[in-house]
Amino acid sequence: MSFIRGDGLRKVYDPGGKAVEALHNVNFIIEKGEFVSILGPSGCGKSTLLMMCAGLEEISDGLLMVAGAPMTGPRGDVGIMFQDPTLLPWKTVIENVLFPARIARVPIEPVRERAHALLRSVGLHAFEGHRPHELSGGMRQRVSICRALVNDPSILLMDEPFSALDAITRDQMNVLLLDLWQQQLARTALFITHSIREAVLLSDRIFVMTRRPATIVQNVVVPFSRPRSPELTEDVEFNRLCGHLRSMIEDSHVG
Amino acid sequence: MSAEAFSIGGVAAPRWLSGAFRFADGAMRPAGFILICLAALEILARTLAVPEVLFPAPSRVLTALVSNAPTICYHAALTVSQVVAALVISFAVGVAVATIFTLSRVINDMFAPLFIVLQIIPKIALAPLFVIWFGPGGLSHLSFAVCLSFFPILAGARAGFEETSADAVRLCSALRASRLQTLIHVKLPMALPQLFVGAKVSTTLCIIGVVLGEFVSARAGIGWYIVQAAALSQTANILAALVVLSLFGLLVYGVVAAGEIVVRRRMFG
Repeated sequence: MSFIRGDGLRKVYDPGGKAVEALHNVNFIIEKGEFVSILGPSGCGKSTLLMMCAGLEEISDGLLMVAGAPMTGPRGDVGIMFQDPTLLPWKTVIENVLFPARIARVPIEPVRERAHALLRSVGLHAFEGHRPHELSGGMRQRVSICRALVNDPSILLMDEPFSALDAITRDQMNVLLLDLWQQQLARTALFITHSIREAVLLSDRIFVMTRRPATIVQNVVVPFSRPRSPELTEDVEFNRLCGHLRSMIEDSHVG
Repeated sequence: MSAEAFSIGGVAAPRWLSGAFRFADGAMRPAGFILICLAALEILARTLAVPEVLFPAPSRVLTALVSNAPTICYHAALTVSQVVAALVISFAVGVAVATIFTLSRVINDMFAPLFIVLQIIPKIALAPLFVIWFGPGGLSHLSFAVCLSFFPILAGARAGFEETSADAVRLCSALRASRLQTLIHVKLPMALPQLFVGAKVSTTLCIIGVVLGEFVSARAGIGWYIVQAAALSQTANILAALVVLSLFGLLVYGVVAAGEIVVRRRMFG
C-alpha cells in the first residue's frame, strides 16, 4: 500500500500574468516507513513538492494522495523541519519542543514525557530550561528535530534541514538523524537535500530532480541494510553509488 | 537566566548595575551640553539686559520654578496622568485594530487605506471638534490624544506581524493552528519590539495631544497653566512649566524605553 502517492503533479506560479511552471508531471510513490530523499539543484522546486506534502502549497494539477485520502490542506499530523530551526526565541527549549502540542490543545503531560525522551536522545536533556540564543546552531536544529517528532507524526518532512550548518556539525546531525530513525522514533520521512552523501547515508530511496520545470527523473534504491553506521560512508559501494548519482545529476542538468 | 556579572575592584556587581553605569555614562554628555547652554544663556541675558518678559535668564526661570513648584507640579501631574492613560488606550486601540486587520483580509482591504488617509488630515485642526463632541473636560483631551497617537502603534503592530518569519507561520499552518493561535503564540510576541518602537513615537504624540487639548479648553493641567501664564505675560512661569512637563514627559518616555529594553533582553536574548 502506498502511503504518499503523487500522480501528474504540476505547480504553476502566476506572478503578474506570467506563468512559471515550477513542477511538471511529478509522479512518485512512497511506502509507509520509508525514508526518501529528494536530490536536486537549488531552486528546482524540491521545496514546492515538500510543501505540497505538508498541505501548504496548492496543487495546480494532478493528484496527491496521503494515507488513502486526497491532499486538500494541512493534515496536522506532519512533523516539519526547515533550513532555519525557527525556534521561538522567548520560549525555553522544552517549551519549543512542546509547541505543536500546545497548538493541538492536547493534554501536555503525556507529551512532556515524550519531549523529555526526545531531548535525551539528542543529548540536550541538560538544556531543557535554556533559551535558543544560548545554544549553538547544531543544538538549535536538534531542538527543531525534537519539535518535529513530539506529536508522533505519521510523516516527517525536512527541507534541507542541515544545509546552514558547518560540515562537522552536519555530519554529526546526519548520524543523529540516522540514530533517531533506527530507534523508530520517526516513521515515514521525506528529506530534501543537495548533499549526495547525506542522501545516500540516510535514505531507503532517492528521487533525483531536474531543474525547472522540475520533474523526478530517477528513482534510485539505496541497497545498504539497516541499521547503518556512519562508517558506511567509507565503504567502496557507498562511494560508487555517490559517484553514480553525481553523474546522473550532471547528465540531467545538461539537457 | 544567566547571572552575568562584572566586577569592580574584585567585587562582583549585578548586571543591572552595569546597565545603570552605562546609562549614567550616556547621560553625562547631553547633561553637560545642556549645562553649558544654560550658562551661556544666563550670561547673554545678564550682559544684554533683555527684558524679562521677552527672555528671562535661566536663574529667573529656576526661581519661578521653585516658588511655583507645588502649583506647576499639580498641573503637570494632572497632564501626565492623562498622557499615561492616553498611551495605554492608544496601545490597546492600535494592537486591537492591527489584530483585526491581520485576522480578516476583507476588513484589512476595506479599512487599511482609510487609516492612511486619516493620517494625512492635519489632526491638530480637529482639537476643537473633540471639545464639541466630548465637552471641555479631560475626556476630550484623552480622546484627542488617543486619536493623535494610536497610529504609530498600529503601524508598529502591523509591521511586526508582517515581519514574522515565513517559516514560523508555515509551521503553524502545517500544525493546523487557527489564525488566532498563530497570532497569540507567534505573531504578537514577535511584534513586541516593533510595538515598543511605535509606543515611543506615540508617547511624544500623547503629550502633544493632551497639552493641545488643554490649550483649547480646560480648567486645569499644564496646557491650561501655560495659557494663563501667557495671558499675564509671566514668561518665566511658562518656561518653568515647560521644564517640569519635559521632565515628566522624559520619565514616561524613559519607562517605555526601559520596557523595550527589558522585553528585548528577556524575550530575544
